[in-house]
Amino acid sequence: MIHSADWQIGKPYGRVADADKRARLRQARIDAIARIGAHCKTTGAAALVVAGDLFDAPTPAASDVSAVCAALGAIGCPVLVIPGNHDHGGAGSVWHDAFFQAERQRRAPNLQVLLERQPLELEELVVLPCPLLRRSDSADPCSWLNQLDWDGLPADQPRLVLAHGSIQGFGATDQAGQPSNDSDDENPPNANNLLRLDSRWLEQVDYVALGDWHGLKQVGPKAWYAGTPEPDRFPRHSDYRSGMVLQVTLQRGRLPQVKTLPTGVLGWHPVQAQLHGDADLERLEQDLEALLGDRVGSDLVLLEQGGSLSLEAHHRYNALLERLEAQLLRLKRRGHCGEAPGAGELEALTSRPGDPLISQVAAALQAELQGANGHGQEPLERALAELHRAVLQAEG
Amino acid sequence: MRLLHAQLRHVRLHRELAVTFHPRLTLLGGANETGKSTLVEALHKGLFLKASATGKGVDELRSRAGGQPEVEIGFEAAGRQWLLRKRFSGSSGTVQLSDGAGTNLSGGAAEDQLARLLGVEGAVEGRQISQLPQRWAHLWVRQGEAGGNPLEGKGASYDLDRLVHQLQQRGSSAALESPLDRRVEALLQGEWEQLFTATGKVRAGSPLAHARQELEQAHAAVEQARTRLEQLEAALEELQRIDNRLQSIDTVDRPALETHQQQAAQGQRALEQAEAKAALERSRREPLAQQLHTLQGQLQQLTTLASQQAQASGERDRCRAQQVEQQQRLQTLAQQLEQRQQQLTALQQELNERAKAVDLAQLLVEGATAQQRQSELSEQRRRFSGLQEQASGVKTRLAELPAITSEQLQSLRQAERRQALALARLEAMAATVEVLATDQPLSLDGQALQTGEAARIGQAAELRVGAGVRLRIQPGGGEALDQAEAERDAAGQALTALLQQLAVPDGEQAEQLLRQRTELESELNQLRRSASEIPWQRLDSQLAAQAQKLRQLDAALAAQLERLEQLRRSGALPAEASLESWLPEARQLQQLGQARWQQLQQEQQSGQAQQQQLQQQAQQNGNRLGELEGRLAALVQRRSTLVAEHGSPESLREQADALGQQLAHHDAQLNALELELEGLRRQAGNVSQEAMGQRLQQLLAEKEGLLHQRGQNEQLCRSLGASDPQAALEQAEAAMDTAQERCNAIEARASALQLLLERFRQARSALADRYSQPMTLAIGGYLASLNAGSDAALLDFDAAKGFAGLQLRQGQESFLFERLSGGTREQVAAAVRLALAEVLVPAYDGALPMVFDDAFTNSDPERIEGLKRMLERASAKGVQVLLLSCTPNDYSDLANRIGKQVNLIAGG
Repeated sequence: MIHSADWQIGKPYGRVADADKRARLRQARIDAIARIGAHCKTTGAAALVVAGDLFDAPTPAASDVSAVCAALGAIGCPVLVIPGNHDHGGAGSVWHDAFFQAERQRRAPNLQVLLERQPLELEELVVLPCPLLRRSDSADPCSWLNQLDWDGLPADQPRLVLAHGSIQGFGATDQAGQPSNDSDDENPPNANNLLRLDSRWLEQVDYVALGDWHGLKQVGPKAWYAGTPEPDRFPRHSDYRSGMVLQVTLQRGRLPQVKTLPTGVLGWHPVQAQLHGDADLERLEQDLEALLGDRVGSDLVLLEQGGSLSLEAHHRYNALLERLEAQLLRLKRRGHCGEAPGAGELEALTSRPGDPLISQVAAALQAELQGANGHGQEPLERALAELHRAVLQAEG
Repeated sequence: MRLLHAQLRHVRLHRELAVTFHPRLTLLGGANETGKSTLVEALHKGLFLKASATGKGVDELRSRAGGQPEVEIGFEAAGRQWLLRKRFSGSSGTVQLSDGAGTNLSGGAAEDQLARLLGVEGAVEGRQISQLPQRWAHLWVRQGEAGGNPLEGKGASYDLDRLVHQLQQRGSSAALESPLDRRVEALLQGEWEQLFTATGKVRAGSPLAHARQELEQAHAAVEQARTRLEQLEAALEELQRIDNRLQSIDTVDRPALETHQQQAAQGQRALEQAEAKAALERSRREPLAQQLHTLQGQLQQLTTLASQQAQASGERDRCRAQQVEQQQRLQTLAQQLEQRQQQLTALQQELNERAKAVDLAQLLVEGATAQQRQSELSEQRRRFSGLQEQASGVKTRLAELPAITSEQLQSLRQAERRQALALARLEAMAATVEVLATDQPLSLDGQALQTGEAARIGQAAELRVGAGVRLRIQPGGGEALDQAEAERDAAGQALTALLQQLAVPDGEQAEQLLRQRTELESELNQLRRSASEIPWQRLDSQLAAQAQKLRQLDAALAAQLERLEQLRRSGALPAEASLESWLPEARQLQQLGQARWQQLQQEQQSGQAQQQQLQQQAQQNGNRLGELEGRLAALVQRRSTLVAEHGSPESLREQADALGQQLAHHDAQLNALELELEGLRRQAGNVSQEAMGQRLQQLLAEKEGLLHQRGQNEQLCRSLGASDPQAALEQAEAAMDTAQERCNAIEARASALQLLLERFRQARSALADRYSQPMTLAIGGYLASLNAGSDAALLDFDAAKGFAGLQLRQGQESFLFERLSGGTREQVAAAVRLALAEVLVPAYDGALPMVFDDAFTNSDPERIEGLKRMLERASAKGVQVLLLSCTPNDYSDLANRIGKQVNLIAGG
């Protein structure tokens, strides 16, 4: 079978200012379904399971519903889906919507939405779904497995638990010291849906297909987060992997064999830009060239800015940023690259015996800047930059 | 520029006036109305008012005597001597300006050249007359303006540009700012003003205002999007709740209610059967219970009768015993009452007798007292008459004596002393001639003197010795002797007049008479005091009243004379002498007897009441005894009847026991049935079939309501979800971040602009100090000349606005110019003006005139000295001082020393 999750079709990418780029980012998530379908075909998967958050919201746009149903209908094997916190299975959600029901019947008869917490016996597989029926539920959606009569299930068929949620509380960190959730400033933490992987039922099953964490992650011998098939955020550390699905080979009573298959096409790149002079700026330009090449419209860059440039260098830097804005699906800037006159520029301001006011003001600001020692520098630098600009303008 | 001479024609009261100015100081003296101020104004207008000007400026110059005003001024400027002639005849006015080197200008050219020489823009037109006083306002101090702040007006009024230029020359100061400085600052200021108003508020329509507005809108949009998202989530939650409840109604509540209804119906049937059985058992038990009840009633009646009989019998015995006791007590009480009545009668008689004796004794005592009182009053009458007679005698003797007062006696004694004194003085002045031995005949004023004879000479006398010697003897004192004689005569006359007035021969007699008068007056006063002690005013009426009272008492006694005798004989009344002491004792005894009578009377009443009460009780007891006897007889009769009808109590009890056992059997069966019923009723519960029906209806109604709500919520979800509220929120948040970023950027830029503008101002101020410093130094030189304890002047300088903030520092304190006293203001203003002129002098070829027209009217002589030192200092530095004063003597010494004095004469 193929394990995937967190497609979040219809994700708005509201932080991207350009509407066309937003549309392309949304479309990329729909396009990923076709690549997943291709993997299903090539691997001969018995089923494709989606562990929650297929849609980004409980009430997705009708066009997204149609597109998803069409894409899923093209996949040959059964597709088993549980609702996650984004598209929970409560009343009023897409799963109960008449339009969805109609589209599913028309375009994706192989799609089965599991809204009941009860075993589903397929030809080769027993599925134990733990759907989320509301956005936030303090009760463990897997708790029903503790009351399950395991003897009543077929003894020879592998058992698959399908669940969506976090296995640790927020604020916790994993062994590598990284946050145990993958939220960031644009992706707030999910609702507090905690899953308890209880050993009482865990030993009765062969695989736990998890969703919610957008990076690929194994959380036990039998338990995996597949991550999102198309990346949707900048990785916060080097171990973070996303843009793939899991090919899982199951046999009753044996540990699963798990293999990753790539599905993502968009590049999400964090780039450091600590700029303290012309050399740093040139190095940054080269690095970006190497990273992006000639690709246009398929990458997103997070520029971690810092340092300070001369007025002239800052001007060049702004030109670079302008180019990047055009080339990239998104250029996100974090931090601030200061702008302060360089030595030559300062000299030009202070060495003006014929213009006593300009030279005295510039000299006083420069002296203050040297004495500021890191604190309150920015207003002084900005004032010098403004003075420089005004002098240039006044000189024509 | 230096003034050399001036000539006025037809200018107000000056028909023709010519003045030559001293290069250093010219003192123009003259009383009021001698045309000093006219000269000052004419010079000023000559220099600065256009010759062809019309209107007020020219009209003020005109003379009443006619003729067009003409002003001619000779001056030095730009290294040459010039002669300026202006004729103010309205629009046809003329001007000529010439130097000795061939330059002869007129009209506009002359005015222009004049303006250049004076360093002003041009001559003032008639319609701009209001600008005229501003020309050289720092150098031309008119009457009444000396106390004004010379730096108060615009820079032009004190030649700021030229002053700054001179100060730059003077202190080698760099330029204040360059054109580029100004452009850059203006650029920054312009950019700042695009963002903010003059009061520092954000300018409406500015990029900053836009950015803030956008940010505010973005905030609102985020809130709106968040609200929509929350509404959607709430609607979804509500839908879930509705579904859960609907499911609960269909699968739990409704089936449970129906099962309950069935069980209730079965229970009701069982209950009805059990109630029927219980009713049957009760119908069997009831007759037995009735029979037992009757038997028990009969037994109760018999028992009650026996009890009543015993009770009545006991009570009858007690009544009989009481009857005997009551009779005995009544008898005793009657005896006591009889005895006490006898005591009361005897006591009453005794009291009556004693009362009569007391009354009679009282009458006798009152008679004696009245008698005594009448005697006393008669004695007082007699004494008063005696005193009156004595007083009359004394008054007669007083009247016979001359009326002499102590003051008169004192005057008499003084007159006597004065006469004696005059005589003694006369005696002391007289000379004495005593003949010790003689051999020739001697005579004094014709009177012969013999040996051993002495003669007293009180006045000039002639002493003849023999025939050939005549001597004039003059006693000492000269004129004093005559004066002493006059005094003696005057004293003698005065004394005689007094003695005649008092009709006494001498002072001794008068003193004796006065002593007699004093003694008689003292005696008369003594008699008056004695008489005043007697209440003589009411004496006669009291005597009459007393006699009346005595008559009444005598009459009363006469009526009871017989009884009195009787009482005295019986000894009940003592002799008359001891009556007064007997009477209180008798009264006390009477009171005691009355108290005893009262007590006995009360005891008697109490005994009578007791007797009455006992009689009533005995009566009641007798009645009760009768009742009880009757009741006992009736009870015995009734019991006999009952036993005869129903049998004895023992047989009745046996019958009742048998019936009781039968009833106990039936009760046990009924109890078991009741228990069974109670259980069945509990099963049926409190809820009736009807209530359960209502509950079912409620459930159905709730379901219907929920279905309706679900429809609404589904509609709401579709509506809210149609536009992807999550996306809307994200976009709104992104827009808000962008707006915030933009706003921050503009605000940061505004801060930078503000910082720059502040720094520009600070830099300019620092540069300005280079200008204000030499200026304050120059002023300080003049202040030092005043020796008035003022350290220095303080000034601010602004390149655009010029000098301002003039203050005077004295010790540690600084005072604003406007806060100084009038005299100090005049001095400080003069110091500032002179310093301005001193600084400006180099720009005018080393000389500059300065006019003070009666400028120091508030200065006392001490200050005038200080002012003169300042003027001298200024004149030494090239300032040509023209000092006009109506008190020229104050400055004459200075003028004589370093300049000249010109006196103007009225009408001249």
